Amino acid sequence: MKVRKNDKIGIIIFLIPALALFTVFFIVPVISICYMSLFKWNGIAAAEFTGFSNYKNIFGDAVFLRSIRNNIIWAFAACLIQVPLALLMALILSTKPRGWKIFRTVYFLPQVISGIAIAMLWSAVFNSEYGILNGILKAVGLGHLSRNWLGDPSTAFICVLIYGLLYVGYYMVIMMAGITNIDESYYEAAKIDGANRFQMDIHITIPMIRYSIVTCVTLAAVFGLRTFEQVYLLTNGGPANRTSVVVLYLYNQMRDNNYGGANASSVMLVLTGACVIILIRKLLSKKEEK
Amino acid sequence: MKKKVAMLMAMCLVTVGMLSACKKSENTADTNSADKGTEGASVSAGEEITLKFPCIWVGSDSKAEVFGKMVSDFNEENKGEIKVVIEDQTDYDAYRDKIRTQLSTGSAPDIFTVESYSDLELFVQSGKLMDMTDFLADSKMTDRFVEGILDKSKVDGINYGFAYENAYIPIMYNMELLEKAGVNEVPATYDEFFDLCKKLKEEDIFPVTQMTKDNAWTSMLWYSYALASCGGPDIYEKGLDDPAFVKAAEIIKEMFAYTSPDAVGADATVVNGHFFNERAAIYTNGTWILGRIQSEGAEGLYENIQIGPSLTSEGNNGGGYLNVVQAYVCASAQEDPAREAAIHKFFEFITEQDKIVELSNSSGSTFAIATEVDEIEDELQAEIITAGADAAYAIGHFQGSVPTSVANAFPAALESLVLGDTDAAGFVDMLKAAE
Repeated sequence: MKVRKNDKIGIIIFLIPALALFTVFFIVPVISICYMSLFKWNGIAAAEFTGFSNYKNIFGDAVFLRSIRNNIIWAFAACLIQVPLALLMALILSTKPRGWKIFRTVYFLPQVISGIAIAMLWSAVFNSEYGILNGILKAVGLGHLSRNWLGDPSTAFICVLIYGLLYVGYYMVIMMAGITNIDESYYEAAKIDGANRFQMDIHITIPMIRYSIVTCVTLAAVFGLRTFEQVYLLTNGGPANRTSVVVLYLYNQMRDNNYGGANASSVMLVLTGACVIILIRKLLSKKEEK
Repeated sequence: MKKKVAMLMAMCLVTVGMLSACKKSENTADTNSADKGTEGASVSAGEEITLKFPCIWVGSDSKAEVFGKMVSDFNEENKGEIKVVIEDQTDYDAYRDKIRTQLSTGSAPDIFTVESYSDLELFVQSGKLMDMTDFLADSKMTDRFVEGILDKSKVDGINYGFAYENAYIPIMYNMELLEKAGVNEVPATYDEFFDLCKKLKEEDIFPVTQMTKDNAWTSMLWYSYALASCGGPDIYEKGLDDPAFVKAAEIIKEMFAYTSPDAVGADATVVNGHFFNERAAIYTNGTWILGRIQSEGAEGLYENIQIGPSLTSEGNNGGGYLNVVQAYVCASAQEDPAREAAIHKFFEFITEQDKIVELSNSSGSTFAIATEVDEIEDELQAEIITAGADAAYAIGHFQGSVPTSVANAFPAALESLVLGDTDAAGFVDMLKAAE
């Protein structure tokens, strides 16, 4: 379909506000961060141009590399655990079993509760002295398994990672919305052909909500890459930086008055995010493009 | 078509209007801001001077009530002439970030506080802090302060602020728990200390309180005491290459064998909880915590506390106390002499001895303004002040005596040490890397 000249003007008019906001609040800051990452700056005195030394420094820092690794694990865990779990829940709840509305609300509830409150609750669960987890283990005779969950290097990262499961309800709601839009006639036809519920989910529901799934996977990866509050509140990157993530790393660079290092970390975060999103889009959109 | 063109033009006009409004307000701000950094405008004769003071002593802070009253009294006394407007800030990190941002953008508040000397040094680099050297050199002001403390507040020989809250941080022993372990006296050496720890552990009492989360506050204080004992009062001048830093790290690692299982990853709440509820016997913190021990501690705990100084290491450096300036009061440079005079007047007001005594008695905090110990109502607080003043030496804590980046690296380095990722030398190397 040919776009007429008049339509083009209309398109431009409607695009201008979004483009202006995107430019002012994203493009300009990103360019500014890229530029300032080439300077040594303590936030107060005049910045001193140091070329790529900030990048050299952060890549020479084991904590930064660990943070990047943790972020990537986080993003993949979100995509491979949270999204499939959300899909499973959406498939079950979309059949509208008894009390499905209550379950939907309960699963979505963490999304509307303050992250700080949840983190406090979570740290209380894992506390080695008065935590409910150790309490349960002791009560069922597994006291030898009790430990300082958030302070033990072998369990800290997993405990922080599990926290993400509380937000599964968000993806579930997106997928449920997708399922609601599927025409009932597909299922009726499948039933006539003798398909069972599992077959209908595999061959009808999942393919039909493909775009919702792609959206959820992208969102999960993005949330995984920009993780901060859970880690900051639960472990503050500890023990011994085992749970550090890039946003926390750059926050700590700012606390150290090293704004050049913080900017360089930000650039790397943006680049990592862009790479992961491009990869996800490529992987999940391949079939459609062909 | 005409409609669309008109719409496009209207949108352009709105956009231009918005941008010009931004520019206009920016210009206004430029005009109001003195080049030296203050955001306050100059005042004409007879006009009330408003001084902005983002303040951390608000909300649940132990000084909030009396300090707030102090500011209200000042405003009442100077009604129509000067008004100090408190801007509530309850988070220390956020407060520091706010001040730093304001200084770097040239919109510094009139009055503010700085929590460490390294931050003071950093903020001075902005060139926007008021030089108070002459004001403080006046005997009317100098005589109010603890001897020598104003000199210690100088950066490059200039007073850009003055020490205000000045704390002694003793080691606190719960004597009831010590007696359960068969010990009636506080230890004087590290050998005695670890012997006591063994006995306490046998009684299922956590001997010492340790933490690694946030700034690892109490563990940082224990490390500071170990450093003082191993390296002496001038340890921070010797730098991180001094072997005392490694020896002190060995001591603190040993201490972790005698702490609660949740120490790695624990924050101040956990540590306080152990001591306040008599699960742990030995603790260190500043006098400001005394009020909370009284109100939140187990019954009788406060009466059972005995304080002690630094322990002797290989026969050296016992009897010292940590003495730390917790807050420097600063002001932004003012172009208008009337505003500068108003700030001076406020500083004179908040450093009056009777007001400091009231503030001290209400909060448990101690200050850089000299007070008579007799006027301090709380016995333990008075005892700490006396012991600190009579101590063999006073030394700052690690966090306030090293660059911010080194202090920030301490918690992770400590966790690495305690978890066995590194040894004492490696711990110091991690601190050096941050330097």
